[in-house]
Amino acid sequence: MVPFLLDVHNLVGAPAFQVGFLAAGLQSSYGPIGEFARKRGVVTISADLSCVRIGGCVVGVSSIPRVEVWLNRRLSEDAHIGFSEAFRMMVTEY
Amino acid sequence: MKPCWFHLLCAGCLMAGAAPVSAQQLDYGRYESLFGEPVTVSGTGKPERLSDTPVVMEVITAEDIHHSGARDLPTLLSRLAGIDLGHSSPGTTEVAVRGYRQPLGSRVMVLLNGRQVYLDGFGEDFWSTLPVELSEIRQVEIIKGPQSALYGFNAVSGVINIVTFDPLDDPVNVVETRIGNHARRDANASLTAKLGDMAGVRMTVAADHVHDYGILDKSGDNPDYAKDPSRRSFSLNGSLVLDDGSRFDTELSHTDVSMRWIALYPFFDTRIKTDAVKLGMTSDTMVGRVNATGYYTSIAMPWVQSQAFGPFSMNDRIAVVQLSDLFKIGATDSFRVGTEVRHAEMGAGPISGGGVLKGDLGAVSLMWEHDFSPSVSMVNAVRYDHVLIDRSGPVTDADPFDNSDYDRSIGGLSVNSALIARITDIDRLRFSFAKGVSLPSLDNFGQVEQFVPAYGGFAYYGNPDLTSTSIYDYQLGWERSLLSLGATLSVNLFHQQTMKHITNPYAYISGDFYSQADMGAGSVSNGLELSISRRFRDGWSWSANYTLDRLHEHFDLGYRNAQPTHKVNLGLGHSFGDWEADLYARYVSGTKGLYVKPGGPDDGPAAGIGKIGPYAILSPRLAWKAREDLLIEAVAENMWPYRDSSPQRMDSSYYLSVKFTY
Repeated sequence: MVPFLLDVHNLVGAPAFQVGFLAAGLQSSYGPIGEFARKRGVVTISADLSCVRIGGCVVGVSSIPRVEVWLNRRLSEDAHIGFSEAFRMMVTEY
Repeated sequence: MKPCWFHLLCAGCLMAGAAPVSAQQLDYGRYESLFGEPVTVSGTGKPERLSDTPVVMEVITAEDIHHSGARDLPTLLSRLAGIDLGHSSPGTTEVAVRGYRQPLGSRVMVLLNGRQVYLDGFGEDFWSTLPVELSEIRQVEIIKGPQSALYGFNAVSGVINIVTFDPLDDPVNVVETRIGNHARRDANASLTAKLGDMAGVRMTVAADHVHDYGILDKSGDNPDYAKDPSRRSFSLNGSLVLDDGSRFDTELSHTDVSMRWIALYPFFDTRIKTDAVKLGMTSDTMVGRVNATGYYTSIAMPWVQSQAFGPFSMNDRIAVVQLSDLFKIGATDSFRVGTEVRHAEMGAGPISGGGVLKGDLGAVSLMWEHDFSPSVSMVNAVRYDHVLIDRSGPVTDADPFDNSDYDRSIGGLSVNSALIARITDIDRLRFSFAKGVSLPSLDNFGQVEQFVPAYGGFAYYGNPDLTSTSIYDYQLGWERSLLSLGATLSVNLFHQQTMKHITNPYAYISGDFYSQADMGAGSVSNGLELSISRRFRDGWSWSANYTLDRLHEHFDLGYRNAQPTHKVNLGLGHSFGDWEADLYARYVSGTKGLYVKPGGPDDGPAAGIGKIGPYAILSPRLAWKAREDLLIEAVAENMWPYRDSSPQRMDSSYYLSVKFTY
């Protein structure tokens, strides 16, 4: 993976990429981020599980008190992102 | 706990690699890194985290093995709650889960990467014939209680699944040698080669030897067949992933073992040669995650010398084909449908009158897991097994049955049902019910033999009219994460009813030899298991467990006598600089065991029940990491002699081993 920073206010001109990690403090942008993920087929990942519930993130991860992984099933289907059956069976699908 | 960003990155790596690895049977290493705990498929047949599995399961990790100082799997297993051990010789061990330890007719299903290593013919697990070294093992999964609905007949007390490292992603390159008292000489080596990005192969060779110490009664032994316990092993494991993500796994293995083992009390000096070949394929398809696996195992005993029956030979062959489909419907329902066909046959030469016994099994199974919420889920599984029995070949005069008596079939329905509830962030409750089904072994059905005069001279025989028997099991478990200690506390209660027992043709019941396999009265077992453990953190680890087990027999078949009421295990480990120090202690309360003495010219054989006193074992380990790739280890496996069976005394064992990793 080759990382780069992306301005959430300039998603239209973003180059093609597969996985996006969301920094903290982006709650107000979850809507556009979700729409971007849906159109561009990007796996958006956040430490804020509410991002998954709202539909801004495909995957959410929390680690306290234990690691929890949430998956937004509808967003991943709309974005044509497939996950293996094994992975789906070990996470919480929303 | 590692920071959340670590897990975000792990998740990202899994996402980014989803296409090429999505169809792996289970990518244990990557999922363990993501979730921070072991993952498994053994509990329900579907991938899940250890803390999510609805069954009572314990996992021995590679790190546990590294710090154990153990040189074999039974020693590792004995340090868990609810595990009973008995040695027939320095190289032969019987392992039981929650009681019912007996020389033949084990109720524990043992699997190596999903391949059954349980011998259908004798109904026995011969641990030294397993083609696996401890350094190859990623984890050992121990499930307590019946699991017939997933694994079929005879997984009635528990399942032990040994999972090795993946030759594609987890290279194991190690050479290890060990010397010790009793002429202990062990050596093993593993080499892993990666063939491009999508294929890997691991080859392992091993040779072990020890002097046959500790046998308490050598009367009747034949020096021509009495060999020191020794073992030669070769295995080749390979993995291949295709561009579409389909994965192929294969195993080719051979072991050649000389050992002394016990049936009733008389011992058998035996050479056992085992060959196995296995091919499995897993692929994500339109209809779910499909797995097809086939394997063939051949067990040949070119000679078996019994002081009670004289020398004989036998062989046992098993061919299995399994097909399963795992899929998820919606966000909350997972299913697994499966089918299995199996052919087992035992040709026992003179011991079966020259005939061949066969069992052909067909089974279908269904598992359904439903998540009521992120914190409450339920799993239900059913399996129906149907077995056709057949016998061909000559019949001896001593056998009251002819071949047509064996033309019959047996069926049985197994059920597993469990509920897991995460009642708080750190507390989990498990409730489970199971109906397990146990099938007589081919040996139970049709073995025929004549005792030598010193042992009474009468014949015993199997019984083709035997049926399957049901085991009902109820469990309640509570698990709590003690975050401040970095430890996990678990409490498990179980109640198990065995409706009938299949008495072995070797049985000694209520003071008399029993000369025919039959259906005996049942029993009830109740128990409590307490354990607390802290995995390595800040250089320290510790663990403690206690087991209370009460077994009531409706008729004395010897199970109660062999069952210790109390067991305690303690462990403490510390790493400092290049040094590691570990200490393990075990206490087991007293039991009783059978003794048999052959008769002389003027008297007949004598038998009785003798006391086996309580015992305590202390096993320290000290290791020095001389270089990054070199570990030197000194181990005392048990500092005082002890007995856990009638015929064998386990003397103190001291080892010095050198392990080179390259």
